[in-house]
Amino acid sequence: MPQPPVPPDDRPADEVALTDPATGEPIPAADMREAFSRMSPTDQPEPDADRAFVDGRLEMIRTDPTLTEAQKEAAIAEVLEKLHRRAPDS
Amino acid sequence: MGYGVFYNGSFKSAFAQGTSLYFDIVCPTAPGGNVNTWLYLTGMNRAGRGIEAFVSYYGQTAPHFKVFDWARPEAEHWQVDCPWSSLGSYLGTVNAHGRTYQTIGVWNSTFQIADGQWRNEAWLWNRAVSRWDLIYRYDYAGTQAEQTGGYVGSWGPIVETFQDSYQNTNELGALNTMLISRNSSGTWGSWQLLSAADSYIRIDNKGFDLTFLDPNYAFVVDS
Repeated sequence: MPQPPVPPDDRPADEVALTDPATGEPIPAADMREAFSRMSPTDQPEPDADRAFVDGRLEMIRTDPTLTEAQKEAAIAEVLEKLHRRAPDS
Repeated sequence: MGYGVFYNGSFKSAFAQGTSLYFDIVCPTAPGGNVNTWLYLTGMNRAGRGIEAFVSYYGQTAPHFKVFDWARPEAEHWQVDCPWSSLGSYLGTVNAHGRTYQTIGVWNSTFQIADGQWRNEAWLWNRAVSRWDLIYRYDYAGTQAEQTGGYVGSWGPIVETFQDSYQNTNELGALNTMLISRNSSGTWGSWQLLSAADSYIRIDNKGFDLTFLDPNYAFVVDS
């Protein structure tokens, strides 16, 4: 595996190209988003997967030996806020 | 949490307009042992609204490759769910410490594309044709403070567990963990292996034993 190039900065969302930062030459790249999207379920994953993911993150925080109780509370609040963030137009 | 790498607080926030993570996930086709529920091999690039592009096991069935996007609103976080049978071009082997491991090369980035606008991306290394394949991209409104602050994004490569104890599992882990940062001028630095100065190992006594650790850019564990 070659070292990745730098990320492709501010190219348009529909453009996929990578450049070798040392030479300026293009690096082989392909847009496989549609293929991966087709392979993915179109609706929400099974409820267990969602719950497991959330529970896993919360457990990771609750058992983190480097965090104080206050830091744990703040981290849990942050996780829950991000998980339940509403869409901008909702 | 079974075993894995967390970023130190100062390193977690040591970027401005972007951060990016590459790692080879050591991922056998079955987890082996007594795994009978979820088990994740995941990692984040430090950004608080970044993504997890990861291997998800459930019991002994073939895993899936998934993308969970922390920047998306509720009900849209799960974005990619790829069966193992479709990942043949991306799976290969990497040698480490005299052993050969099945791996998948995962590159995920979060960076500013305009004032107040950020992008999350996931790329996989296609070994069959020696090419980077973009599998996921999402643009959204955000702030630098959201990305550099907070707890989300603080875990690098980890073996995330969902049982109290593990026995006889196959070897799991991460190799070649590298990060790169983009400064406030918009310039990317250079890729650096994740060092022990920037991260620490967390072990939660779930039965995993260390096969090897290269501090802290590579580790393999089993139970």
